[in-house]
Amino acid sequence: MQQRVSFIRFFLLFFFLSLSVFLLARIGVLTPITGFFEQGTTSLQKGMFGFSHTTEKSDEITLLKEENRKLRTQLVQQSELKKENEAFRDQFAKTTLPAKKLIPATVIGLLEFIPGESVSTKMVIDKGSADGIIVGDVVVSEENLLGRVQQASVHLSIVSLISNHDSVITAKTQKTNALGLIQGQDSPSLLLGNVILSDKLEKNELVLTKGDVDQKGEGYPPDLIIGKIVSVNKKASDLFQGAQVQSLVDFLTLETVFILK
Amino acid sequence: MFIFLLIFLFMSIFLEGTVTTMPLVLITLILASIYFRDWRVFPLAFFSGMVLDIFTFRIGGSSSIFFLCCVFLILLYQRKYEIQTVYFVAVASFIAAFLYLLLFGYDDSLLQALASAITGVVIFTLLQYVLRKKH
Repeated sequence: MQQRVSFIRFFLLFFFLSLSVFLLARIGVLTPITGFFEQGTTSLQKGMFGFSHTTEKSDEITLLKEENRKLRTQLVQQSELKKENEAFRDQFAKTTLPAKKLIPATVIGLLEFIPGESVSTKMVIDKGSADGIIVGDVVVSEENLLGRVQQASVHLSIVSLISNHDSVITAKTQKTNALGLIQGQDSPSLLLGNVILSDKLEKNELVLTKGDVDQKGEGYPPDLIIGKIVSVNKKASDLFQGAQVQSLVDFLTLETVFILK
Repeated sequence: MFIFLLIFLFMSIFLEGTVTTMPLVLITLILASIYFRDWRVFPLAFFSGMVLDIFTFRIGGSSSIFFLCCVFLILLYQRKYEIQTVYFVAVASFIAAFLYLLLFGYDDSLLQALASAITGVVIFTLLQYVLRKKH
C-alpha cells in the first residue's frame, strides 16, 4: 500500500508538471525556450540523419539520374523560354510572378516508418520561423517541386512532401497542356487524375504545376516539375482518364532544399 | 540495467526524432515500467517526453502526458496481475502504440502498432535472456 501511495504521488507530481508545460506551450509562453533547445538538437539531428542516410555519391546510377534530372530541368526551361518568346512575338502581355527569394535549408530528417524502405511523406529541415519560414511555403530542389511547409517552429520545419496522401496539386502536362489533379498516394508514384478524356496524356511526358498562387502570394507557382508520366490509365467508359506519375527527385538522397519566398 | 535503459532511451529519442515514426520511446518506457515497477520510470517518462516534443515539433508536454498515463496504468495493473510476460508486453505495446499513433496523427497506425508490439516482444525476450544468463 505504501509503495502504491508513493508512485501515485510521483505520478501526480510529474503529470501536473507536464500539464503546466503543455498549457504554457499552447499559449506560446515557452516558444523562446523551445527555440533555444531546438538550436542544440538541430546539430544532433543533422548528425543522426547523415549517419542513417549516407548516399553513395560516386555511384554511377546516382550520377546518371542526377544528370538526367538536370537535363529535364533544362528542357523545361527551354520549352518555357520558347513559349515566352512566342508570346512576346505575338505581342501578348505575359504575366509573371514577382521575383522569388530562395532560402536554402538542410534536410535533417525524413519521417518514415522503416528508414530507407518506406516512402517518405514528411521531411524535417533546419529552417524555421526565425528564418522567415511560414506554414504553406513551397519547397523545391532545382525546378522540382518537393512539397509545402506543414509546420514551422522557431528553428525547424516539417515539410509535407508531394508523396503525402494529403497533397493535392493542380497540374498540367508540358507538351499537351492537359489539366488535372496530382495526388500523393504514400507511395513512390503520384496519381494524375481528373483529366478529361479528350486531352492527350503521353508516357514520359513531364507534369508541371499549373499555378494557383492567391492574392496573398500563397500557393504553388506555375511550371515547377512534379514528375514524369510512367503509365496512362484511359478507359472509354470513364468520365476522366488518369496516369501514374513518378517524381524525378529521390527524396532519400536530398541534402539541401530551397524554400520559395 | 538502469544505465542500459538510459542509453536505449537516448537512442530511441534520436531515432524517433529523425528517421522513423515508430514509437520507440514509448516501447522503451513500457519495458522500463515492466522491469522496474516503481516511481523511477515517471521522471524518465517526463524528461524523454519533453525532449521528444522538441525533436518532433509537438506542443511541449503532450508526449510526457501520454507517457506518464501509460506508465501509471501499467504500474496500477501490476498490483493485481503478473506483467513480466511476453503476452502482456505484446498487448500493452500494441494498445499503447496504436493510441499514441492515432492521437498524434501518424499514418499506418495499425501496421506500425503491430511492428511496435513485435519490437517490444523481441527486446523483452532478449532482456530476459541476458538477465537469466547474468544470474
